[in-house]
Amino acid sequence: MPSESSEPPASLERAALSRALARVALQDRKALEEVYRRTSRKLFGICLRIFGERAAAEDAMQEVYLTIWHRAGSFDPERGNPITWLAVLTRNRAIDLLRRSGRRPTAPIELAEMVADPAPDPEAVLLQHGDDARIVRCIEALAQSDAAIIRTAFFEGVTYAELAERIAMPLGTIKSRIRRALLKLRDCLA
Amino acid sequence: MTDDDDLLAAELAMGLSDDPVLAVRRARDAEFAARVAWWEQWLAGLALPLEQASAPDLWPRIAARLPQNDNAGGLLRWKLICGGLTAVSALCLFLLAQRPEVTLPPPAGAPQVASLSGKSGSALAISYDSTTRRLTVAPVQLDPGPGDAELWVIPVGSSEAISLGVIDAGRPVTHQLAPAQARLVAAGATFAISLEPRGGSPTGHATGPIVASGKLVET
Repeated sequence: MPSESSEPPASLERAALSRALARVALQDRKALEEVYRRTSRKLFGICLRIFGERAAAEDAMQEVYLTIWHRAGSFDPERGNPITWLAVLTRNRAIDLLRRSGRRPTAPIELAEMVADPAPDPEAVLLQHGDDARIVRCIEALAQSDAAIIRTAFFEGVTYAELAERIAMPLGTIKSRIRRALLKLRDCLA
Repeated sequence: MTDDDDLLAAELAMGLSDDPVLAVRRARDAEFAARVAWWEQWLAGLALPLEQASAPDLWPRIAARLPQNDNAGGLLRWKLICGGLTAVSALCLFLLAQRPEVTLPPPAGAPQVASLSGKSGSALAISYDSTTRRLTVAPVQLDPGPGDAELWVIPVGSSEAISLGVIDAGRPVTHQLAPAQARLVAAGATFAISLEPRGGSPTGHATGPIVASGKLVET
């Protein structure tokens, strides 16, 4: 006996967010405010992780929502989850800003130290949908140093060449190492 | 899709490679694009559990920055820009000469410029005025061979290239962008030029090489 009230909250949230994004595409300011209210805690978490300090993360957040304002029209609710689309956009935009600010960490780091990137709070992972949590489990199934390299690359937006320099490893070595890890990750996710 | 292609898709999604060739391929090769999106969606799962219990209320600051009628600009701004950017100064002189309406409304917004270059020696200058949505493409050195040169934009915060159409390789041309195209063009966006068969890229796979690319910068 299906009824509207039996719909789980996550899909209601998803539908509401999709509708708000559709209105943002028509340059509706109220709709952008609604997107902001529904997503700012999640997206701020991403900016904070990438910049490591609040002031820069707050600046990045403003740029992120201005980018959402301009690009909402390219979100296709048929093909994707709005919060995933927003997370990808936020991560890419924040990394773009980080690169342009010149604030990237450049000091060489030891491979062993790269595990400094903590795994996310297990409770938060449990609260995620099964699919979202799977990437975390698949990353954790990699060798610890490989997992750390993938996380570092993802959250700092570093290229192979920059990674090679930072961990003082030949470019070819780091590249084949990451590629092996990516294939393992793919097989785990598939 | 081979393992190698799938790895290229992963590298584009991760940002391990910032080769504009891959972004352009994403625009034209649906299978490749689907793989990039697959990787992006999984990787987003790393970012989403970072939710903060409290985030500062930045909405008033964001609302204040949404586009409004901006009347700053005009000839002085063009002169300042041209003074500051030697790489495109020749283009700016050209644009100054081309702007007979500098005293007429509406005033220009802050123009943005991009200097495109590539290993083959190709070079172009692009200027963009977001107020009028006019994009001027000035080839400095560009040989499209037997085909056409096509202009692509990779928007800020994206790894997706979107075609802005075939350009004239022989002379500067000003294009009027549609609002949907204009939304993709902002400071930090990357432009790329590919060599294509006459009439532009046929649907499907990436065809010609990327001969020049460069970022749009605020002035």
